[in-house]
Amino acid sequence: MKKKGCLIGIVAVVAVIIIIVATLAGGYNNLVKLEESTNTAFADIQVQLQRRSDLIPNLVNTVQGYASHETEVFTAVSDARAKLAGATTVEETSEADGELSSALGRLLAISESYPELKANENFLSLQDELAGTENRIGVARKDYNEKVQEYNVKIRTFPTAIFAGMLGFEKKALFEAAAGAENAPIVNFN
Amino acid sequence: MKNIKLKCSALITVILIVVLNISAYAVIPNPTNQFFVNDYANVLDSNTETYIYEKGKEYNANGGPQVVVLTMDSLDGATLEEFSIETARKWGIGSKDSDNGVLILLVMDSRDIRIEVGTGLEGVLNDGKCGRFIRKAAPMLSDGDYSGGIKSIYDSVIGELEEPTPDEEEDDGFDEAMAEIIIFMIIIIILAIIRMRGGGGGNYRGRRFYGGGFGGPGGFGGSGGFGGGGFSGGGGGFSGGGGGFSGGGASGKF
Repeated sequence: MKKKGCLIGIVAVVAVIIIIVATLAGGYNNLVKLEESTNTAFADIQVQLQRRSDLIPNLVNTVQGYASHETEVFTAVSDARAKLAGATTVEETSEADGELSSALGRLLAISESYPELKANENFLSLQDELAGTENRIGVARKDYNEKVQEYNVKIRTFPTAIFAGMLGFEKKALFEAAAGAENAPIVNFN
Repeated sequence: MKNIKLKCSALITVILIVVLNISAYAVIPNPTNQFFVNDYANVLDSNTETYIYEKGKEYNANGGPQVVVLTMDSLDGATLEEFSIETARKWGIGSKDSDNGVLILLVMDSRDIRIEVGTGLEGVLNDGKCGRFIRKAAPMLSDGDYSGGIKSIYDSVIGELEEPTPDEEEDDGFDEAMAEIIIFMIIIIILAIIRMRGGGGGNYRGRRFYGGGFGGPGGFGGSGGFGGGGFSGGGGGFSGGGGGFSGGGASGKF
């Protein structure tokens, strides 16, 4: 009789352990998936940033053909482009992205004073490509932020919160919107 | 088990998207039963509507791309680009495998026009071309000939999908095509040489090389498709199941 009670006890303990392990494993796998999806989403942003960087030489050349003396703007664009190329973290990337967006905005604004440039089909088409790419960056940024938010919530809520920190799942930074890049809050999670 | 998980995640996605729509954007309408033509601003004449609907059905039957027209009176404060991509994703325009959806969106109060291009078509319908279609149709739209303008854009898009034209000014596409042809020819020459060298006994070798197969001209750029929501309210059963959109296309004013 006593033995039977003992056996039931052991079975119960084992069952509980299995349930806990299964839950933890499921939670862990989920976290890994989520983290990977944030990585993919960030890669999508980078694809679009690269695409924009690739468009810039063509655009600058076209504008230079009509407005070669606007050197200040060209320098600003190439500086921001170089900075973006050298960015490694999410924060650096989002900051450099904001700078490049505003420099490009000024570059496009130049066209207002050059009617011939404005009517150039090549320029118009580059402008469309650039606008489209800016929009893609916006979409990729939003998708990334949604994924990061989901991930951040997950690692801070029960039960994943118990082991997320131990296993090295850290909170991820959002990709701040370009419009407020100059005065965006400094993100620091340490 | 898998099914339940799928259902759960679908439900969560639905809830998330519904919540997001309410909080951040204007409420996105459901597609009409005609799916391919949704004239909520009531600016298209019936001939144009029928034309677009019939063409859309025809393409749908052949598994071709889905080109959907939507007119709105107002977006209630939502931005054009956000509204358009949310709608395209929510309606599931285009097939999930080839991300081949296009949404043509006309907004009356802000006088905006946008062509939203699915990720699978970004190579053929690049932003520059979309911008050109919009600029071509803008005068008609400005004159109040909305049917004519929309039909012009619709035909341009369909025409481009049927027979892609090379980019007009920036001849990037042409260069790429040339490069591909040259590479292809070089491979052929190399293979021919190898074959000739292999001569009598080497038939097997030559075969093996041919068996390697050509990769074919590489796919177009564009980015990985996001798995858009695979559901739609209404739509007469035409929804393609959710082609990916990543914000390609062009916007313009009229």
